[in-house]
Amino acid sequence: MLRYTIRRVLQIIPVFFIATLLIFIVIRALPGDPIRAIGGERTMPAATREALIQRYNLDKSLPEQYVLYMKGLILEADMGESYAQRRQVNDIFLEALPRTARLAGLAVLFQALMGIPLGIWVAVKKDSAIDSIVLVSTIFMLSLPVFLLGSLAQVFLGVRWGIFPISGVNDGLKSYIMPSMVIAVSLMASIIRLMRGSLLDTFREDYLRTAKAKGLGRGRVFGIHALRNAMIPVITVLGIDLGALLGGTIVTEAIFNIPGIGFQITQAIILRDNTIVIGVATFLVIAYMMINLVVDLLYAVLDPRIRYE
Amino acid sequence: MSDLAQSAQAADEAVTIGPDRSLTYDAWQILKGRWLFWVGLFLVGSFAIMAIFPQLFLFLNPADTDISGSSCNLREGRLAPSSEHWFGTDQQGCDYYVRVIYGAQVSMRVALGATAVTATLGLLLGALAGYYGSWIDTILSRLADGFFALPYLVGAIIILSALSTQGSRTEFDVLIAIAFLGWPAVLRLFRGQVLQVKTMEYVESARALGASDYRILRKHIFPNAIAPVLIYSTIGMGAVISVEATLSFLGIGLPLGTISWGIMINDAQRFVRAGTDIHLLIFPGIFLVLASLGFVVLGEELREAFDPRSR
Repeated sequence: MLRYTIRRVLQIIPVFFIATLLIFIVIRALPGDPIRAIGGERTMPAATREALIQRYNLDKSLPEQYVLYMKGLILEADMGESYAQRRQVNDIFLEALPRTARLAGLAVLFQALMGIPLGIWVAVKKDSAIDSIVLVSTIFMLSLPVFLLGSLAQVFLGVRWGIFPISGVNDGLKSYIMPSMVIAVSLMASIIRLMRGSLLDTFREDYLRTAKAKGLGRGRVFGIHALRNAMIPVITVLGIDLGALLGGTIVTEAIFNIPGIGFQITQAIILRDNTIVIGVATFLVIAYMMINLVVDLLYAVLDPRIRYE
Repeated sequence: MSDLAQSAQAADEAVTIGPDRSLTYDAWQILKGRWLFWVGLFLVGSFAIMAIFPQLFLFLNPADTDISGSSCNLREGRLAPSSEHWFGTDQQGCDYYVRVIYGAQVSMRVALGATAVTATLGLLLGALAGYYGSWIDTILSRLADGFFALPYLVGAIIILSALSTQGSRTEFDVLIAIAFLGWPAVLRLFRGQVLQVKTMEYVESARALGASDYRILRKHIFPNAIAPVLIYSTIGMGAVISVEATLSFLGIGLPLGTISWGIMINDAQRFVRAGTDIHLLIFPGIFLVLASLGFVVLGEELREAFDPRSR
């Protein structure tokens, strides 16, 4: 297990550098002058301009900038200073992250609370009318874009019926309910299908037949033997969804005016605020890789065959 | 004839009975009894026709079917649906039904174009990675991993900002951005297929007969490894339709003024948020969902029918 862990951790290092270098190169290719963006409409004295260029290392070549940035990030956990907001990216980040985390956390919670029982229900009622109805609805949910669902929810639940706050984050946790429900519904389809398939697979296992043959009660066979084993892939996907959502709530944040990570990065790209773009994108890459690492290691613990591949 | 010979002959017949059944034939037998397959095919067919011959959907329409905007009447802005205007009118007083029908064109064009570029890139690089292996495979696979680690929308926004000069983008920019982020998935899929087919005996015998790498790839590997990519691409077209509309909705996709479902829904926001003129949101929304749904359903049905494990 230790060998596998070391090998797997070493594997993410090149991916990290490729992904961040990719971000760096593309950001550099963005048209527009970031320094001019700081000054806005006013013309900037040449000396100020020169000082700013030096301050943000813009006079150096791209490889040098990349190395300097990585040095700051890895050795001091310093993501640099925002051009436009004149604040440390770390601070902006600490302000935005809890909002996105709340949104993503609630979304995954709702997704689990709705998706898992539905998946179990249709697995038990396999091939019945309700099974077909739910399965067809999941395909429908998969093709329903989040922005459309979000707009509809906002109009009906927010504006027309006034059940939830329309937008913003001023109503505490209440303002996160509708946005996270929207995300949950759009992600729920995959959980329903996975739960159903996984449970049906487990029903065919030998140990389940043995448990039944031993004369265990139905509740015990179902709860302890079938459900617990069938939950493993479902929990994995919920974990991956949580990680993906940190960077995947851009649309929801835009519709409901939630100033989280997605909102910050969209604004920063428009304003050419490159340090924020690079910082946030790098964080998202790290989050994605860490979650994948945890999932892979978890699988290796559960399934020893993977370790000896 | 002895009993023994007779029973041997009977056994022979039992084995060879019926016509040869190919995978395609089997798949067709399954598909033709599945109503979801027909729904998918119907939707995809309808939207394809809508994109190529929009007039076919318009000749019964009571309103003026001219799309150039000359038939719009500013005094009839944002009318509710009626027998005169089936889907109502938009802000400029244009017949909304006509605009929604014409909206299919750009969606289908971008979906087809982006998917074609994605598949071509993914197939070429996937063949290189899978067939040659070693360092080519390492570089391409790690590059694909790097792309996967980047959140999709963040990547799309960055690329589209880079492509747009002076804040204006073209349909082609959107197509390129989507394709640029899509190829790693095809690479992974096709690479796996090539690795499988590469070990087949017919490939080995072709090589023994002195066939060149190019000939082996073209004649033996491509035809036998491509089916999953084609099926994936069908589902992918549905996803592209959705992504393109999302980007246009966020204001970073198609240029403003394009007749597209995403832009229509974006335009509708300022009225809809006040709780009025819901039809401006609903109608392009329904068409968008149905178009995307058609490709996803068709692709899923094909995937299940062609997957021997699901039988």
